[in-house]
Amino acid sequence: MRVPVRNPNDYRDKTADFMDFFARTRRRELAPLVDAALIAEHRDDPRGGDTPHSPALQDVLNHLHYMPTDGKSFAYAEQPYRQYRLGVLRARGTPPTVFDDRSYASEREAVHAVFMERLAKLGLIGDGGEGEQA
Amino acid sequence: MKLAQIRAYCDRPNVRPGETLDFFVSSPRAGAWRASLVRLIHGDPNPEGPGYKEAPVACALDGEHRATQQFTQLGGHVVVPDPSGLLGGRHGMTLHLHLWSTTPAKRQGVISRWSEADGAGWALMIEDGHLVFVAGDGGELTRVVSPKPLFPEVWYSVAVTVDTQAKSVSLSQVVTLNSVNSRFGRMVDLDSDVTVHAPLVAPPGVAKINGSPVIIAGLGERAAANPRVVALYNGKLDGPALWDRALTDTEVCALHAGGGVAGARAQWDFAAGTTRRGIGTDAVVDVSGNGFGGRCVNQPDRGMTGWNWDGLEEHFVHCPEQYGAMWFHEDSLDDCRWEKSLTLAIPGNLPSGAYALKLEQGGDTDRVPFFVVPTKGTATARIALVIPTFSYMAYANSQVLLNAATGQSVMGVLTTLDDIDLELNATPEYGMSTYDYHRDGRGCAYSSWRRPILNLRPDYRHEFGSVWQFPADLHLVDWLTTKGFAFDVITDHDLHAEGAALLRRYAVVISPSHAEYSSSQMLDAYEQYFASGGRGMYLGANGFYWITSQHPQKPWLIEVRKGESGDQAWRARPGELYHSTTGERGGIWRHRARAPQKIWGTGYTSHGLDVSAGYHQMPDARDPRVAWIMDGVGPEEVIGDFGLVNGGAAGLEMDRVDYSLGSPPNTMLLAASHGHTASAMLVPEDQYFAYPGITGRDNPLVRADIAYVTTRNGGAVFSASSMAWCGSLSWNGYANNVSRITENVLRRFAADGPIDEVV
Repeated sequence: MRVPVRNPNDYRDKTADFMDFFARTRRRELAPLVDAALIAEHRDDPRGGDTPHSPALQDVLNHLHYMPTDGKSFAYAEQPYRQYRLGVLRARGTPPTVFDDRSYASEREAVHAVFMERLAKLGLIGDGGEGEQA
Repeated sequence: MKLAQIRAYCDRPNVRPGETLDFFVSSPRAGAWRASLVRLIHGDPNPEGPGYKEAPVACALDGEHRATQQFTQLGGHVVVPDPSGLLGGRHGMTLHLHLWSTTPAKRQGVISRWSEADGAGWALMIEDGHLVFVAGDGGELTRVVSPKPLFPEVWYSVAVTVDTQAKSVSLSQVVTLNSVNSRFGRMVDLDSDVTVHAPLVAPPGVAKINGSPVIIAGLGERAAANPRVVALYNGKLDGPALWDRALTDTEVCALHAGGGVAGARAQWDFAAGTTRRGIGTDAVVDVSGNGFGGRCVNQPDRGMTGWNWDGLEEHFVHCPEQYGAMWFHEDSLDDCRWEKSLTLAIPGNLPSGAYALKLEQGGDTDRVPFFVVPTKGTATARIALVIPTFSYMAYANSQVLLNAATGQSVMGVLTTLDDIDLELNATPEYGMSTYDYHRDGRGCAYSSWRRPILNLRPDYRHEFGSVWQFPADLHLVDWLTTKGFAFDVITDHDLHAEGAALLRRYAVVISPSHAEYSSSQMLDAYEQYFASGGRGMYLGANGFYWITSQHPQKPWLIEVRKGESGDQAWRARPGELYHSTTGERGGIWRHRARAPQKIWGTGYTSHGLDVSAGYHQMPDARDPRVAWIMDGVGPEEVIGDFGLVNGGAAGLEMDRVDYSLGSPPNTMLLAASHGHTASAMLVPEDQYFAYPGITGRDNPLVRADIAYVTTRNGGAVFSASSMAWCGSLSWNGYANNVSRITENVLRRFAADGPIDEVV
């Protein structure tokens, strides 16, 4: 019996299934890499300008860089070179959220806060966990 | 977090003494604002550098002005005047067109003569994925809805008949998919054809919309000869036509089968007017002979594959009969079209340079840069700085890090954004860059000067994490000024128009940090100039890379089609790599046999936006014939392992010498950078296969080369091959080896007498 394709809304993007599978798997693989030493490495030199990033930190950063835009944290330069805050991007055209509870005196500190927020979001650290220890 | 403030633009980037420049200003706040003129010297606010520098210039516009908020019409569409209402359909009508919708879920107008405010006229629309036809005169409404939803990016033939005698209306859609013209191919068992009939409750009204135009790709907001357009359409349309009677079923079948029916009242062929040089016009031709020609607004994409494209021809000028489509976007923009606010008369004695109109309102400030170039046919210095205005336009209002998930992967850093980035996110009416995507997924191919360009501001650090384009070029302006060099400023727009004759007025011309976008006229100019004894300093990288066209009728607009390789923010779809405005093949110049190495000795090889490095001297650096270049630099010195741009002079984007790509055989390799990171990558055009080992840690092509080459008649070219070079000039109070080498070369190049050939 013919069952033709009639309605585009009947079909979902099943490649999302693998994207979810990959994300879960990759995070399991990365989790053991995230320890106090790795967090301290990022805190001390977020760009790797003084010492090249270790392969472990580079692997973690590659994953953090690639996260979807909606919900992605960023460093907001409220006063460039003087005062930064943490923000989260929303869907295109929707104003991002900027958090007022904490500010950072340098871009380095703010970028490290972004790093910690993304690790927490992915479940790679607990809230106030390894970051505090580092 | 500040999302809107006073903003402005000017009508062109370049102006000569004695000419006038128009400014267009809008503010969300009523009241006064203060104008002044400033000369721009240095913008980068990095506290490790010399800091912000501008100088006030007395100006007739100094003082207070009144602010108004101006309206911007976004979105590509076509307006067809119909003052006599002959396209009103009051005695019956038929519409036919081919349609390829990109966002069918959104409510949008396909073709209409309609007032949203009055609910009058007729309109073919898409609502919630379905084609809808409505007609009426403000009271009862005829409304017919297709029961079958549209598949996105699939071609349909669509017809509507309105029979005022039989008081009936029909809407039919027929899939016209082939193997290449749609998102998927023929093997899908698609059931999307349908014809639906309905009673004509109310015929198309004309009384309430007297004088309104037909609008293709949108709906009129209200009845007017030139209404604001809302519900803008996303996707392609091909061959819309209108008859002032209801065609028979047989005739409609013929249209769906790709045939024609004589006697159309209006029939628009979007490819009509195509010549060997493209279709660089806003005119839309009515081939019915009845004079219903239209005008494009906001530059829809032209030269697009049509419903009947069979994939055998890839250049629209060779086969216009298969390129009858325009691709419309709800967010395209070719000109804000604001009311003029001010006119600045450039004093006859104003020196050439980078200037800005400064606008202050409350605590807000905007600066609108423009460039004063010498009086035509003259030079006022021996040195010219070529401001890459085409590249400034290509990057204008880029929002990559706000919208592209891979942006941070490319940059290799966790993003920092500032108020300008957030304001761009909140103000789509300022348009986008050739690095962005329209809402419907197509890359943005056209970019305009005539809009506020928020990232063309002297102190903006840029979403990419470092000063970029104009603020980066001010590093060089500051160094030239501090060192006391007399120099003229000229722009890409001047170079495109005047060619080598413009360059020949100078002993040396300098290309600053990132002249990435070039027309063939610009490449010709440099090549002819250097070949005949001119001298050039290329103090940047990834220059002369993307093929760029200037619209022949709108010089404030450029066109770029990215693909097939290169560092592509997007990629032209199959059959759509050729520029509509000139007919030229798009992509990178390297793929048209004009790699940058042929003119400058070096060309794009890698990007590394996280950490910059220094250059190590190669054996040529100690060749006595170039000792004057290295004068004052010790043989063991690393060059530029310092600077404002990520800590080094070699970084961001970098070029290399490559004799196989056209570096002249006598090109000398003075130094090459080393020490790049795992996020510094080889460019895609050098990746014939994808393989591990293409980063700054392990690939020797990830580097910046300092190159030197001489030409006949005493000409020469020096290339630093790094976008970060100029960011190191001011280090240590301008006393450093980057500054020293640059000064050695510039003083020699600017001096009288030929330079000895080094072969």
